[in-house]
Amino acid sequence: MSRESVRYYALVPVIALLLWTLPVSGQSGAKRDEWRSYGSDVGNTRYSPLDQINASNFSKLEVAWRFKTDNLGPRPEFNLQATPLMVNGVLYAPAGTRRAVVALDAATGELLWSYSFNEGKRAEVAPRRLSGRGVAYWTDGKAERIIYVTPGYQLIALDAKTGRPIPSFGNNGIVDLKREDDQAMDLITGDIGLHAPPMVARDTIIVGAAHTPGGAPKSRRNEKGYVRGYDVRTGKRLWIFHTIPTLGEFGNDTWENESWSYTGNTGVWGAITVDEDLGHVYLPVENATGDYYGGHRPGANLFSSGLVALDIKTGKRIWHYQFIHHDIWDWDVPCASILTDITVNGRTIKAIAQPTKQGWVYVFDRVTGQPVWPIEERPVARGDVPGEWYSPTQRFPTRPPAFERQGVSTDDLIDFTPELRAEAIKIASRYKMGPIFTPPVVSRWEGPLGTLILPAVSGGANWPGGALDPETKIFYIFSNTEMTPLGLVRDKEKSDMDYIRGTARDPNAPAPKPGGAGAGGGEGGGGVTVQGLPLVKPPWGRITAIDLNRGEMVWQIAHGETSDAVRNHPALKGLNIPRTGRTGRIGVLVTKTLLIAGEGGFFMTPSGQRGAMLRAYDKATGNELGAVYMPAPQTGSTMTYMLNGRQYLVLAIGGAGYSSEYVAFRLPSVPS
Amino acid sequence: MSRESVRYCAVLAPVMALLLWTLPLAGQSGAKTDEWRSYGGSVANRRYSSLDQINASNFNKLEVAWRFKTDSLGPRPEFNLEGTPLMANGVLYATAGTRRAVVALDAATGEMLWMFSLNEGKRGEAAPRKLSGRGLSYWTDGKSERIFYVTQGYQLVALDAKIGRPIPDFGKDGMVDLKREDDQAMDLITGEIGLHAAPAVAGNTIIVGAAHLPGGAPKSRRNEKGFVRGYDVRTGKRLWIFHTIPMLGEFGNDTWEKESWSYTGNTGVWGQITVDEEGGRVYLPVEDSTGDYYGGHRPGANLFSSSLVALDLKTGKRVWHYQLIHHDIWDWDIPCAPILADITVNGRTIKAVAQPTKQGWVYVFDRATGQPVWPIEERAVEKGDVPQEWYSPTQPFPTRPPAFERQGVSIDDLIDFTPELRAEAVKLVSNYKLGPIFTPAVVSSRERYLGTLMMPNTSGGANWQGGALDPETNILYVFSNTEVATLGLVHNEKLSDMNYIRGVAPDPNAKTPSPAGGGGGEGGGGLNIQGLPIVKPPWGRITALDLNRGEMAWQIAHGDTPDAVRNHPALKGLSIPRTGRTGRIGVLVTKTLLIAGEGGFFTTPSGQRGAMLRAYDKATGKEVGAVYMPAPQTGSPITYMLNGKQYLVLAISGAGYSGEYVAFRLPAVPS
Repeated sequence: MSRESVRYYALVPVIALLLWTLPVSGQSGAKRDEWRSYGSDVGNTRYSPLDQINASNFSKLEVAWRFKTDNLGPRPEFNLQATPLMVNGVLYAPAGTRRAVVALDAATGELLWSYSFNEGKRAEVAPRRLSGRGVAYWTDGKAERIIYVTPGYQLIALDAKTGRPIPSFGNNGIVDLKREDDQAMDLITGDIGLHAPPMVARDTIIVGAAHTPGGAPKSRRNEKGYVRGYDVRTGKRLWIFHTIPTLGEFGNDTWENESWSYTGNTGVWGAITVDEDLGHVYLPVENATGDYYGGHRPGANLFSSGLVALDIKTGKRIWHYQFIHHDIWDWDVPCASILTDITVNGRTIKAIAQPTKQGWVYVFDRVTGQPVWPIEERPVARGDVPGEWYSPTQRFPTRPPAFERQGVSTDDLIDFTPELRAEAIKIASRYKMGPIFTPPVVSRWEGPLGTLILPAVSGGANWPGGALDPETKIFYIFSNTEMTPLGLVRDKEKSDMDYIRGTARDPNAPAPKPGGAGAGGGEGGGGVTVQGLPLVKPPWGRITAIDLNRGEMVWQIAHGETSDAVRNHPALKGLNIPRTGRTGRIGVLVTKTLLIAGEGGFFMTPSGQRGAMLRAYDKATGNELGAVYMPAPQTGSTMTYMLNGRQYLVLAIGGAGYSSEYVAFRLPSVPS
Repeated sequence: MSRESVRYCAVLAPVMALLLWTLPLAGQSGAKTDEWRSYGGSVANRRYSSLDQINASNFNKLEVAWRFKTDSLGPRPEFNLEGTPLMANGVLYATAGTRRAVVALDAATGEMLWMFSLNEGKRGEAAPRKLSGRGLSYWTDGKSERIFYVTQGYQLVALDAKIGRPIPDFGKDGMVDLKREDDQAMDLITGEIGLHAAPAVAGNTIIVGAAHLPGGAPKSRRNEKGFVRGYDVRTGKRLWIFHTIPMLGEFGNDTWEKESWSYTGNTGVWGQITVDEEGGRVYLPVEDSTGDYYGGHRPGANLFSSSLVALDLKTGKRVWHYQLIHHDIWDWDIPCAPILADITVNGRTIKAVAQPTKQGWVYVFDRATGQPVWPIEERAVEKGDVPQEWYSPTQPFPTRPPAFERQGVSIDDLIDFTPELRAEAVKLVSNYKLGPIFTPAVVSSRERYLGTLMMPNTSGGANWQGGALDPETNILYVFSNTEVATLGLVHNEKLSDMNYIRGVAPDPNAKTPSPAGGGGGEGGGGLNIQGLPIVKPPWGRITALDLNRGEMAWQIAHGDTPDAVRNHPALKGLSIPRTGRTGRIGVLVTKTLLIAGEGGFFTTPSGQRGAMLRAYDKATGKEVGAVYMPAPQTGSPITYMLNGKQYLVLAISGAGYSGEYVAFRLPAVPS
């Protein structure tokens, strides 16, 4: 490199500074070298136009820095799910078991400041602990703020320069989200929190809500997950949206027997999306109390398991679309909807695409809420769980096709060998099988023990959601192909619900210990396996590319090298099994040049080291173009930025025996 | 443990800690409490703790309680973390990372409570003493608590210990620029002065020393002077200054002939400073002057270089001094804290101060008067023949206690594992001048001597980590390296305006001369034979000296034999006792044990690359336990008690293993 070009590079910070003063474009990926919002932009595309890292050099990536999060809490964390932000050369991220916020020099990983709030018991009993999934950034061009939600559900605004709370925001920088929530709750034990980052757009902070996982809730009563808007400068509450409509509000009649009054949950724990031009907020709403039993909440249960569009100024509902009526599969909407302007049969549509656990991406006109392609109400099977209320129909999108397998039949079971197949059929015979929306059953030892559901109750897709290439309108998503055995039990010791998730006990087995699990209620379940192998055929982790202009699948690949347990399985010896993929929570990144995703789970990498690979794919074909070693699997979604002339990739990794860290990759300093 | 006692612990332990916390600190008898409030345990620098939960019977059961990785506290990871943390009121304070940040950690979990970091830009980059430094200091008046440290760029920072933010009414917004008010003009960015040591805080005074670039090949005979200053702990106001190089009219100025006091620099205090709070005395271990190995530009004895100086804590006025080396040309400056010990010699109690040194002696004085406890004799030493050098005709030789390191080099010191190795060693040293301690450097020559072989090395013997003292027995423990330096001088006008700097005469037969011309520069390195040190082991040792009797109690090799020696083909079949390993190893004395980690990596008994943290019987030096560490000790261990558990914390790091603080404690269920 000549001295001349060295001098040129010295100017890059000046250029970055100039770019930094440009207004943020809401929904078409980062226009510049930064990553200012959880999903890159408030339209959550997870797209970056950067192109320095490309197919020809991806495998040459080197670790630029690591940031270990062990000491940002009383103990190390092993599942760091966050996506950092990068603004003006500084990386902002939550970290550690106390959910501290850190500011790092984005070139070196040097810690510039950290902020940590010890909430004592309030955090210890919080339903959503650990470091969470991200923070939000706001600027008016002068002041810069970092905004996040603590484990104890407090909204904090920090000065991005110093990491100190903004005195004029809320109460010395803090808004207690357990107050002013249109419901009474205990400030310590109230079952509400949030892993997702708050959304900040148009000077408004929008905050969702999450609760303890609800497969076996102690009660049919719980805190409600309302959504609120706050003034980004003062922390003043601007509006609230009742995800469970109160008396007199639209949709209240979908909660029969006054079940709206005590039923809780129905929060928004996925990331929220905004169209700043339209002034719309898009909420991915979860299901209501009782993930798998809705007998105490008869009716369709608006706005559970649906997409709701609000006016960002007032919080008033503009439109909504319920994906699942009266959800009893826990297929709540887990992730951000994605904004894109597509062209369907020559017509330009301002669209919104919502990936889901159940394996469909639902596409709407985001102005009106009209489906882009027909979504049909079709009759579905009714179950026979006592007291349950069954929706006679459910909604089936006609396009695009599902990105995951849906429903379970004998054809879905593994057939690596006739012996494994026979064993799988025998195991599955103890369960009820059927197409998507086959409801859970009361678990009986003599059978059925439960319903086999695919995708699993955790999806299909989950919180990482998808990514969108604004140039091609191709949508990319990682999903797990896993099955959940879903049985219900009665257990009055554990819950005042008539049924909670659980598995019947062998009546001939020794009596359970006193104070034990009673009839076996609890989250439990786990996967059903055959000699340690999944019951259903691979791929078990996959990436799907869907053309949103045409509503068609472009390609689908297994993502993740075959696990050691499968590669070394004695029953599979001598068989030639194509790459099976590995499960995980894998957020994908699209750049100008590549589709990038790390693997979930550990395996013995090609270099012989335990770890996982960060992989790059051809966006048009899904062909793998490169891979680099990581010492642990991806646990947080990858982001990218450009700084001092170099493109960086940063993601959170961690796993069993490897405490969490952010790791930054870039190309070697001397291009070769 | 019964449920009853669990409840007891949970309720009373914090209360008890609080009660203890309000007691006044005893300045000079080791930590009286369960804490570690000063770099050396206390400002008496004994590195002693009365804790006893960790003992000979359970040391091997120690487990890692937490680790604190320092990588991200600076623009790049650090691989030589030398800091000693403090623990006060359940919070551990430490310097960390290549930016020398200060962190406060939960002492039970290692959770970071706050971090303070000052980006000094070019001033930090140009600093002579970079990286994370060796420590910081704590002060409380019983209500407010402060942390003090010196930045890489030589600024004194006062932080609120609760929140880690600068104290607004201290200095200017919490900072005192130490490059100002130093009785000499210097550039605020490039002025060559800094400090690795922790400032000493005693009473309401902060005492700050000074360090410079290593001075084997200084660019100039002129340099910044390392004066020592006292500051008010509340306001940051300068209270006094002590001129380590006396100005015109001050005592000792005449030991700098030809007005050399005016331009000569260095002569700072880069080791840890000790205070006798009761006696109101500050004890300064002063370093040598500009030109570590050539003093031709500073003729005279050069007071107070390489001297121990006692000052009045209130005024900074000199009370007494003792020069350990006249006109030091070996870089045997005083590297570490003097240690306060109340000893009994022939039935007489003496409030003593004991000064470990690079040259291998512990000098012991009555700390009130500066009188040697045992005679120190001025003996004639060899004069060298380096042009224009000024040689002191005599040097002081302590008669007691005996040296803890080998001194001087003769043929008898060379390795004799095999006759072949011995012959090779003898041949190799024939190019060097050998002699007893204080044999001076020579001008490097291909015809005669490439240099003088000196032992201890120019880096000691002892170095910054110093020693420890058991106040119950008055036994002083010190780790030292047994290494040889090759000390030659060259003339090189391109590199320096000094007549001579350290270097090796160029080989006239070499095809291309080294870019540095005459080969000046720090250089030197160790002489070795087939990769083996040229002198006999042990190469790392711990010595116990009885300060009541002025005698050596025991001496052992510290550190298992390195892999390079164990696997050396020339040593195959030989049974070589533990050789020790070199390092900068601070030792810790507790009620029950002497504790020290190893320097350098080796293949540990478990087969993992790492180093061992070892515990010894204080009376005999017999090893009583060892636990695995993934990297060698690079900072001195401390100990404290918290919630009923004793912790050991030390800094470890090394090649391929970035710096971290690691905390050990016994398993939750005693077994």
